[in-house]
Amino acid sequence: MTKQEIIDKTNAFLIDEYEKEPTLLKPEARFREDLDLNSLDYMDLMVTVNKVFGIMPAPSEMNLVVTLGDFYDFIEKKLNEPEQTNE
Amino acid sequence: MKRVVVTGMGIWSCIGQDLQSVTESLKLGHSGIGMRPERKALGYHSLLSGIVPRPDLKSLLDRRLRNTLSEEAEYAYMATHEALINAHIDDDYCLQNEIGVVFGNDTSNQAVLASYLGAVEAGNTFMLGSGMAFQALTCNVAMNMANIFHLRGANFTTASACASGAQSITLAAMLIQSGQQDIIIAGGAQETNDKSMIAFDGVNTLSKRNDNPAHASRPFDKNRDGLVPSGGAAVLVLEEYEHAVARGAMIYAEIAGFGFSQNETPLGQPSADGEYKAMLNALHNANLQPQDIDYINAHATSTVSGDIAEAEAIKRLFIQSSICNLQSPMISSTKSLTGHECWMAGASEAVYSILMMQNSFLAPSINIEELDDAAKDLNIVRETQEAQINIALSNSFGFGGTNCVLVFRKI
Repeated sequence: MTKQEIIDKTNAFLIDEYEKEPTLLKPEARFREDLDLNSLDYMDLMVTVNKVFGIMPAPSEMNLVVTLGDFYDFIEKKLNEPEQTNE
Repeated sequence: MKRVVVTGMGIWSCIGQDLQSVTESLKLGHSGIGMRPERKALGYHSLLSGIVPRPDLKSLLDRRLRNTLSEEAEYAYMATHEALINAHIDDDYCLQNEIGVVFGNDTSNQAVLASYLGAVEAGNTFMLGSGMAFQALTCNVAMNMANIFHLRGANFTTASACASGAQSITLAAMLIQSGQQDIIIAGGAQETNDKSMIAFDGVNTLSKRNDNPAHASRPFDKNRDGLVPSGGAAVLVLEEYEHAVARGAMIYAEIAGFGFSQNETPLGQPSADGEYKAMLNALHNANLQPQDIDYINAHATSTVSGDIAEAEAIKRLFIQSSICNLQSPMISSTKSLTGHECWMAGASEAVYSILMMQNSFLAPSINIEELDDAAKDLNIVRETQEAQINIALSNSFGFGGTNCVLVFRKI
């Protein structure tokens, strides 16, 4: 998946599901201050990114996300991680 | 002790989704009962339910406010919204004054089960999202209403099965009588999904007249075979009398009194003794005599044993022990139209009774083809009647033997 595809899909659910104004969705937008996303919203975002991208972030990883740009990077990094196995 | 009056009402039920449409349905004797055929595959014997539309809240509330609402809280939002408009209380007033909230609600089964099954399926509780932790609480209704409408006073939830809604009104009235609150949003809410009443089907309390939904709920009919589960939400704005007058509020009725009792019979078995005591206590609390009551909104759920016990209790109090030895008050069971609205019923039947009082009519107990022998001495209203109701009594008798009776006075 290209970075632009990640950005497009992420912006789409932030607009449709999280009811964010498209004009706010800039890489430098801060999750808490600019996008009004709180710690409970972070838990919901974990569910959404799992549904949309098939990745399973941990709350501790999500808490490192400060800006929307961080979020795009984080999703890209998780998508590129090798699959975990039990072995 | 301070007086408590009703200055606003709101309702979302299977017979209408606002006060006007509910008044029409009561007057016309319209049933709100329908079929849920998908319940057959779940092992239900009864496929009947009050059909309550889910409100579309997307244009009314933002995602975060919707996210924590259970099914019953969605209904409660609509009823509370209407009640506050009806009481001429806007958002600014709520922000600047201390308003309390008390809701009757005894389950949130849908959310509890969805949480458990969702976590098992995903193998990870983090995949539930944030809303379920709130939705799964029985206090989710009062909690959400306080959050949405900025109700910053007392916040309580009453849970006493089918007496929950009536207990919410009594608890709110007590808080106003004692001077602790001036205004309280008091109501009841009930989920209608297939998780909500499945255990009641399992103890054979639901009607199995699956071929005739509108005729299935038939309180006091000789051939009744069980209750029909239903739900929604109903809300009353209760206010201290002088406060209401000073605010220039429309006063719909006064909470004249209330009474309680607990049955001594085994769980699930109704008791004429317990029901008699609750009604007697309510009359004493209201400083009224049996002959003062114009109308009884019966609990009468259409179960075989419940309706008989209530008929016996009413006869004992209003006919046999009355010093005037007169006939019984006029009686109807609005559950014949709505089904049993359970945790909401005490609040919704308060709304129905006050609507009848305001509009000078009595709603009928429909579907009585042959009156049960136990009810033959009672004045059961079987057709809509014009009537002046000055004082109404509403019975709520909870599964488990918790009884709560309310008395309303027109002023």
